[in-house]
Amino acid sequence: MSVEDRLLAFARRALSVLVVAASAVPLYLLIKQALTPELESFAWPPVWFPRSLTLTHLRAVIAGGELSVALILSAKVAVTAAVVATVLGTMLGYAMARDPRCRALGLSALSATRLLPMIAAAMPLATILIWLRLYDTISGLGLALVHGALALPAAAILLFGAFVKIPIELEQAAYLDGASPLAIFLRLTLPQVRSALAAAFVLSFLASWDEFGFALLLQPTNRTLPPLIYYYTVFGDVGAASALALVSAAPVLVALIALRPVLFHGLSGRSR
Amino acid sequence: MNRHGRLLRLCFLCIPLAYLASQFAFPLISGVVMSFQAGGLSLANYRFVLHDRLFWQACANNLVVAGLSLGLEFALGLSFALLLGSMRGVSIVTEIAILLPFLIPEIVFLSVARYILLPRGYLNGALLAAGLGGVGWLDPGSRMALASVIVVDAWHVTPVVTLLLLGGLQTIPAELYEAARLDGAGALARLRYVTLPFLRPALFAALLLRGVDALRIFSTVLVLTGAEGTPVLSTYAYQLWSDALEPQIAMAASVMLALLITLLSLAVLVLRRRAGGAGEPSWDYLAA
Amino acid sequence: MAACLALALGLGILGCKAPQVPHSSLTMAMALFPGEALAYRKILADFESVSGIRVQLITETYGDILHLLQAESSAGRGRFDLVELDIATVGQARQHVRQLDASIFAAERKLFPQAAWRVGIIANQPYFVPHRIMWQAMIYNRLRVPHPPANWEELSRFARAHPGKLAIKGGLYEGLLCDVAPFVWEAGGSMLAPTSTDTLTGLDFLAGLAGWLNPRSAVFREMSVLEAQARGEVWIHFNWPFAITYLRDKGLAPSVDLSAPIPAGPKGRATVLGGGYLAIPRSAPHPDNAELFLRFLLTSDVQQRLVSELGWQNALPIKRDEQAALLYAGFSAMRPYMRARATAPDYQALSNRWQRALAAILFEQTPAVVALKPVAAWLEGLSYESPRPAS
Repeated sequence: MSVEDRLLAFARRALSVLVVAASAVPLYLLIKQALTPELESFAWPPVWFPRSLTLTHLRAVIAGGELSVALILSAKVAVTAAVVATVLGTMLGYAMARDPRCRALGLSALSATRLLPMIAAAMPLATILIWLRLYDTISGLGLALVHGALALPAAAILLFGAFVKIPIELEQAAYLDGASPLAIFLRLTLPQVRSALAAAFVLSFLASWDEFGFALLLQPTNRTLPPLIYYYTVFGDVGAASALALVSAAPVLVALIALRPVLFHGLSGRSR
Repeated sequence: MNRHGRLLRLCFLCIPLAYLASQFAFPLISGVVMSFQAGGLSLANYRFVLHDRLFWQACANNLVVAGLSLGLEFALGLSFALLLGSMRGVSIVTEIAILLPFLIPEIVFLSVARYILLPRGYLNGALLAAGLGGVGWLDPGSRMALASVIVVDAWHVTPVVTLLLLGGLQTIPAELYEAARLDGAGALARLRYVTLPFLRPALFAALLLRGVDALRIFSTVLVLTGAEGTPVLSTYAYQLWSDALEPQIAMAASVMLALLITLLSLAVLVLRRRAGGAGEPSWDYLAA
Repeated sequence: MAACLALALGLGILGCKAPQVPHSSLTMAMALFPGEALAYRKILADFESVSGIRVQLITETYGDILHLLQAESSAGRGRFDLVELDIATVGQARQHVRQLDASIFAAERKLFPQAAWRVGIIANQPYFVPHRIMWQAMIYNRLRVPHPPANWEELSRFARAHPGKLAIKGGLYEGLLCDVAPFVWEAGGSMLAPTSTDTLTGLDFLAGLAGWLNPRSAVFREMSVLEAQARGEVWIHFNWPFAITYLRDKGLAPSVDLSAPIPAGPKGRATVLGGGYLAIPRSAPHPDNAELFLRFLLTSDVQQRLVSELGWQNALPIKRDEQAALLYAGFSAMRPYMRARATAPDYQALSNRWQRALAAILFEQTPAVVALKPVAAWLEGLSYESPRPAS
């Protein structure tokens, strides 16, 4: 191996270490803040290793009832949004993959939605949702619909990429055999993009689970987890905010670990 | 097939688009109408915004933050994509660590960043332990605060760029690298003559996607420095809506932001056309 | 005929057995901290057992409650029978709430000071009832500042001796006015006379301090400056009574932090009156139930419970134990000096202009006369039909 290759290998390893540290250290700090008394979290110089552990923050957050309510609401909204985004994204992705005009239209529409700043959409949306009685509901349906629309572009592009890889000749052959286009889509094409479907669902779920801006503005009372964490952070409740943050991040970590191969395969076309 | 599946494709196109219109187009239109309301139809809201010193400050900050954040996230994203793409034994831990900043809830990420960057936070604590003085990472109106926002925002979004570029990297045939190596090309030369040209479509696609998002920055500023610390257009509009209780002026500010984003996106597309690429980002690399 | 009777009877039975009879419920929106909500619900439980009305309490920030009120008012129908609003938005919210029956509080005038009652009476009609009133005092770190400044000179000396340890709530919101107004009033000035000599005296004093303030003052709000105090980043700031409650819950009061009166100025002491006021929305589904609750609330017994169980400062003579007396000493001392800000319907517009002017004066070294031009122009343009707001 040449010197250059050795250098490159070293650089790669160093980068790996840095990246892992950049994720591990903040995670550790969060866990520490959630499990130590707030006097320690407020201490200066900072306390790096916990002197005493306590479960009061977790208990306080659970006892208040806010945690379970927010958790269930976040889950409801995320699942609904993921279903909407995946279904509609599949439809759009297929149309875009099979027809150049659909592709142009779809891309323009998707690009157009990205031009909209959240704040410009959220304020009028609040008014519209109030009128539809979908504002700040216990079911979170209004927010779920918005999240579905937010996750739709990514899902559509993902599935577009997957559908494009399927040769059209397969479908044409099936058509010549007398199957209807819908049946061909459902029975022949769709099963082949399973990993992309899963990736789209998971990503849409996570996008909704994590989303903060619209949740802050459209569900001020019946809060999902992110606005709740924001309020606790801003209210100087370090322990409670950290505990909630961990609870909110846990499903993401689990999903990441469990579904990493699916994510990588579906997203980057890598076979690993 | 192409002729007869038309109805299906039409439905598959129209239903999602109608849904998107209901969630975005209607609110936008009603919002634009609201922005012209100031006791009757008038331009008063726009006049207020354009005469507001704070608005121009927010504009300048927005552009600076978006530009530098894009640069940083592309540099980092490219590095990580190269790292992931070439290393045989990238551990699971590294892969997860690369994806983590984007996939954990945004507020969790920002909350931790805040605890680290506070005047009496962990970063200054570490600097103190190392014998150095503390830095005002989040001091309102300071360049340091802008830098903190840029770094945190870039770091948050780097995983997306990494994945997009990784997809592009897969399209490069391995034989080209071998050929370049045999020709005696060093790593840097291989990067310049083999990797980057093939990555161009992916780079442009990523740039368009992320560029727009960079201009819409909101929660990072809100959580880290507060709306007054490093004003950007989204937080400027939010402050008007939430604190000043002036929803019409807030809508006027949001419309200005949307206009800015549209103009810049068009500029990028025009530039690309001039640079010799296709009129729209080429998505073929996804199919490769 | 028999069919009609049967139908009527059936409907009657249905009505009686309906699980949710509309007239026996009460939905209220209040801005309570989670700890307060727990104790408040106990008081609500007593009301429920006395009146037979089922109460639902929703906690929300004042800003969100105002938005909800405006939304429900424009829709013409709503969910809430009773809302709590921030004192500063009372003038603006008046158009969305019902006029109250004066008998509700005629008997219990002594529960709150005159200044507090006056806020809720607009154009000689009662619309708002004080719920939780509070005022600001100085919060200081007793370990670092054993002798808290008692007047402007001492405050100035402190700020210069310890740069960055004095903070004010400088965010672009109402809180900025709450910190600055006392200094304007203590100089004899007024928010309605921005360019008078007295007002400028107060503003110049603050502008002189500006270079010595904690750098994050420009973004501080109630909770962020409180967090900074808890972390020891800030040694003196101005805040409401819940600040001491927060510090006590974190174990920092009275061991580290205490309250003290706001430093006195050339024309005496002053502090800003704040808090929440209750009102019945125009779109309320059960206004009678809301009125019943208000009558229940405005009695000495319930008010004393609010003071002792929730730690509110409602200006009754407050019976406190020694510890609490020590913690809230600064607030008790400031009680006679509370002043309300203006309550005109366009108060928000005046306040917005003041906020921008103050931010320019304090954080951008703009000369006061220049920065106050928009405020003066706005006050000039006020038509003389709308009553001039007080102070």
